[in-house]
Amino acid sequence: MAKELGEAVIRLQDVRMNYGNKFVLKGIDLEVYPGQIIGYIGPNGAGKSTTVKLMLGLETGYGGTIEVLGHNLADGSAAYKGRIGYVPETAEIYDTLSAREYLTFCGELYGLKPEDAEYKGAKLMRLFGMEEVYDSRIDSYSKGMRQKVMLVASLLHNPDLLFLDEPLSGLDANSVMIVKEILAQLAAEGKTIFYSSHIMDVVEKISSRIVLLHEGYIAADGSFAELKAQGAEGSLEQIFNDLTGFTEHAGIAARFVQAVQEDYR
Amino acid sequence: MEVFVLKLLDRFSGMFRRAGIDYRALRTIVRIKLTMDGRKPNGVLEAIGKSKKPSADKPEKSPFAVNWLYVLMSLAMIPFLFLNDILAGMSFVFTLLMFFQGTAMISDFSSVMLDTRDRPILRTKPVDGRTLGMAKTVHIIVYLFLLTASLVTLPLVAAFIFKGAAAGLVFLLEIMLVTGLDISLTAAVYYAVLRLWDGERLKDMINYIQIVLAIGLMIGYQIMIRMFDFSTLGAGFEPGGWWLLAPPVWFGAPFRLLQGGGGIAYAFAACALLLPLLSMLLYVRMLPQFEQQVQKLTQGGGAGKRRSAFRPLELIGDLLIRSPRERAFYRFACAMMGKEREFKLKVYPSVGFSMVVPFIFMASQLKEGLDSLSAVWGLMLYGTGLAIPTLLTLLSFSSRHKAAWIYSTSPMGESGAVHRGAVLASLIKLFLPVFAVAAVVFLLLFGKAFVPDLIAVFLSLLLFTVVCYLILPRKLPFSEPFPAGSSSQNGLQVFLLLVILTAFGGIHFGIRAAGWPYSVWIFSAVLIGLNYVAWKYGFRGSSDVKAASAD
Repeated sequence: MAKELGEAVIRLQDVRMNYGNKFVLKGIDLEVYPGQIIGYIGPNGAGKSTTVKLMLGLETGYGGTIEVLGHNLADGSAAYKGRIGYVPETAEIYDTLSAREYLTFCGELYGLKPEDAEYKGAKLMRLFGMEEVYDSRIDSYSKGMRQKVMLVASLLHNPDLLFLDEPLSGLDANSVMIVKEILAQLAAEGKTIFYSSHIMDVVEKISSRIVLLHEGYIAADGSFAELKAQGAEGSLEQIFNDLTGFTEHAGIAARFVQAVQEDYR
Repeated sequence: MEVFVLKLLDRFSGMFRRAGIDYRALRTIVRIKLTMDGRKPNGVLEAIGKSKKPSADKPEKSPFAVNWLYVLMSLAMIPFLFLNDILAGMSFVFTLLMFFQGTAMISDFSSVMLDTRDRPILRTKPVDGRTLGMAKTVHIIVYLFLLTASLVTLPLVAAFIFKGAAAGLVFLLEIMLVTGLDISLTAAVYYAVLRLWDGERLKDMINYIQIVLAIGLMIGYQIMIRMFDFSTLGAGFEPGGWWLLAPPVWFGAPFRLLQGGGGIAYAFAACALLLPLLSMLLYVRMLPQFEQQVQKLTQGGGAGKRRSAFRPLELIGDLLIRSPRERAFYRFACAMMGKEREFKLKVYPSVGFSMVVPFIFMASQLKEGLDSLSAVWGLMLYGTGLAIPTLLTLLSFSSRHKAAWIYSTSPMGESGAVHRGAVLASLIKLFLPVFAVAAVVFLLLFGKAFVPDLIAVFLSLLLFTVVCYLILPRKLPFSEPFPAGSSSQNGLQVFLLLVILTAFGGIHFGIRAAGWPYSVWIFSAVLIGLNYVAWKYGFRGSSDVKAASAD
């Protein structure tokens, strides 16, 4: 792992979490430094979103220590969230509002003046090519347009730390290129990006560091080059399959297609 | 109006700050919530993008509109101010008030209190649990006050004019106290349930508790009203100690004190002041913990249960319906009605209540003894039909209304099949059991001679269902969002249907009164024929899905 300058932005020490008898996180140790783009990957149910929710204070009752932006979460204050931007996976949004109203609202909650939030929101939306629908209701938007609103909402207050859960979902190829470039440039400005996704090609390309979570533990941690050097072969997708011990995709696919084509009529 | 509410709120900003609340965030959240309430959620077609360009300002009926039905009802309260015994009169007024507030809290504001959507959006920003909880509370209070205002403005004015300024001020203060009490009591019940259960089980329990509370309120209301036997009211009403269990009486007591009364009324008046204040204090204290518990609602449950192989409901459907597509919708509707919690919450209480309606009609007669009950009273069974318009109105709502795109993308053809399948399902799954219970009680009351009438009532109600379908606006089942705030809808049509329902009873009564031999049997035979025609052709009107959901 490359040592970076400055204080750790995120510091997890032996973080454990369980829902009843279900142990989701079984001891996570992780330190993240400014300017890193962390690709946080793992199979469904590995505990990725639980980790992010814990760091955002959406879930409590964990074991171990969590420090975000030098602030220990155990003391319960919400002020540290003012320096965080978040794009959730399930795009929960007040969609009867227009983008202008929603973005102004978000900006205000982060302490911006309404007119500043509105101006900045308009500026960012225009760059995404959405000035025409800025005053339309969000529930009339396509998936990609919603995603752009979520991205803008997470960046309005110029946060130092970004949590992104599948931030590219629904975006067209051109927008994907823009967003990838935005992330790279934000990281170059010293912002930290914590990025979880299931699309391995993207993670492989944009992450400066990849953390793989498997069954509640960190199974791999390092840059893509470092992961390959550890003896894993091929693309990140293959490394992912190797490390999670999954090799039967061809067989399952064949049986699936066979079942699709069975005729009951 | 929105601006007015916020201005009013600003007056209390100091109080909020002292309670450790981020007033700026609170105000922003409340403002945006009020804006959203004024917006009509988009229907299916707009969501898929087929319709005209939607704009941000598409106001629904303003959430601040006066509820004229309540204003009308409030007129009925005014005479109680002038009862000889003001304690009894005001207790009665507060019974009404607590009933309406309680019902509104459970059916309309539970979703605000238990909203899990706020959490990912607001708690990821620098907003703490206490502030979010308070914002939700203010949001509820605004509406509860508006609802209450429709209900009490006229009586309040009457109190000021005829009973003096002191009585008016006491009344005003008590209205605030009772509102606080209602909110904190509801929150306390939810808090207990949230503490006790987990996951899916928790959601089911909340649903059951809501249904039980709603039915309990209706019955409690009926009991309270009957407790005050009007003939004895003039003589003065001396509540015993056990009346302390009835909160409306607390609020009646201070008025007797004003008139120079004393004794036990002091104890009641103390309750009226102290218990609401105590409950509100506790409520504000517990807000962060409450918010913490609400998050449990987002947790998924374990593996689902597979239904047992024996499904009598589906067998009935298979017997009655031949078209495979219609059967599919029948089963789908059955499953949705059994699973959708919000739907159950809105439907079960009103359907359950309809079972009680005939007995309420008969109550005065029943007091005279069973023997005085002539067979004509059996026609009160028509009262159960009150559930049918509600049932059909609610059938078009779902908390997942956007999933209705499936109607437009699947090869469906005539929407008549969808409607008939769903209407039949609601009738068999929800109405039939309730009707059966009432019918059994009626058979016990009236004996074997009631059988022909029972059959005729049942057939009439079947026909009445088709009439309801034809008169109420036709919307695809589960394709619209539940309306926010007050759930009263289609007022005019429902009123018309009540007249028609009464007409059915009237015709039945006339045929019985005519006294021809076998007249009721012949009536039934005619009804069978009419039912056949109505159910066969009545659902053909709406030719395709687009026409049906366009309105």
